Amino acid sequence: MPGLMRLSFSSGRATPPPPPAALPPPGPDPEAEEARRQAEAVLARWHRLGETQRRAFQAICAEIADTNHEVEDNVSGLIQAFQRLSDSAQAQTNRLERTLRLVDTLEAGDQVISLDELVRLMEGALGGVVERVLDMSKQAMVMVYALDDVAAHLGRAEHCVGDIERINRMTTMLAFNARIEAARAGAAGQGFAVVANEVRDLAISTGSMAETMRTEIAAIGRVLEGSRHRMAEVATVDMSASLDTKATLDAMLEGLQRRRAEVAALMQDMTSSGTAITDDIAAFAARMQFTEGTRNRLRTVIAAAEALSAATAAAMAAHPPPPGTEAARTDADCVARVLEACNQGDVRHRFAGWLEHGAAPTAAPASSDIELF
Amino acid sequence: MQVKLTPGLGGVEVAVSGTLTFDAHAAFRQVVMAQVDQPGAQPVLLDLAGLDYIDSAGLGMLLLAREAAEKRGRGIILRGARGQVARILTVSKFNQLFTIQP
Repeated sequence: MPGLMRLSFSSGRATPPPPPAALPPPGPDPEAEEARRQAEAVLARWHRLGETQRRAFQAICAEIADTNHEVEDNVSGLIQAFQRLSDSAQAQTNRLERTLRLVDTLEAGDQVISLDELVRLMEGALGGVVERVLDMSKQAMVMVYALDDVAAHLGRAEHCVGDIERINRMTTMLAFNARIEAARAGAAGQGFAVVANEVRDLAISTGSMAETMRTEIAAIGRVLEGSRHRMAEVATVDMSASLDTKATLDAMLEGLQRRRAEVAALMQDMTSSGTAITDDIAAFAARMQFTEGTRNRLRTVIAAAEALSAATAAAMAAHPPPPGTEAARTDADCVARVLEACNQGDVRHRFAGWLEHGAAPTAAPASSDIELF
Repeated sequence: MQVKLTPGLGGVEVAVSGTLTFDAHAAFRQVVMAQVDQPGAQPVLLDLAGLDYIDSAGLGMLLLAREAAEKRGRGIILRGARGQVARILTVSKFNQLFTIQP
């Protein structure tokens, strides 16, 4: 019974004195009387030690039970705190992932478009613009070539007008000569003179018409030239701006792809860190489960101490103190040693309550009794 | 714009140099379009290595040349474009319309 050994302070003996055998009947023998008196003193001391030991066991049981509850409460609080920490870490990771996704996207109406998709859309729009510009330029060049053809035809028509004017001048000269010859012929040439005058009038009309045609051809030529210039303006677009825009879009796309890779790496890091934190917390929480084993061990210790206390009480009941001895007294020397061994103020206060009064103290210890760590 | 015609095994090779803008449209029609608008099984090879600059009018002329060649059942190869000309051919997605060679 190790507990008994520790709590026995009887003049250096390792074990408490065994319950004394039945006392010899009193007699007039002084030696026997002295022996009886010593035996009663030993029995009384054994009772005091037994009572001290019983109360000490009660104090130990109460202290262990309190400590057990305190550990359970604190560990339970710690597990809950770690669970909240784990939840917070997961929520923080989720929020960060959502933030990174928001950074990488753009809301357009009810659509969510990623930035690289936006750049591709802009590239497509640029391609559409370029395609329309080229189609317009091609159609303008078709018109220019058509106008060139019209101008060529017009040039040939103008040349024809020149031919008409040359023929007309010859006709006029011919009519003039005919009139001279008709005058020389006298009356016989009067009819011929009439024809010559008609030819001259016809030549004058033809010349006037040729002049009008030349004027009209010149006007058409000016219109053609104006149209050609306008078509040239339509057909000619400097594509440098498109090239600059394309270069900018390429750079943006490249930058976005680079940033997306960086964000992906960051998210991977975050996920790894989050997983590691969660695993650590889970492992820590699992280690906290040691309280179940500790609780069982402490309960066992309490049961053993209670058994010791009951055994002590039973032994004391089996061997009552000698008549005239005050029952339920403790051994002052033993109590003092136990309290001296309690170097923690509040523990000493509770042990003092149990050992000196047989119950836990109802009042809190004075502040001066509590050591601060 | 300057145009040089070189007879080859696959037909006449047309080398265009300088700048291909609206001002060159008459010469382009007279020489290049005339070569393209010829019957033949071989594609027309346009060497653009000497071409320094091209604008939308020049691209429009190339598109007209392509149409004329298609009517003859021929294709057009654009070879050796560089610098601004190469970049603008890329932006205009001419690789979808012509055979582009380096």
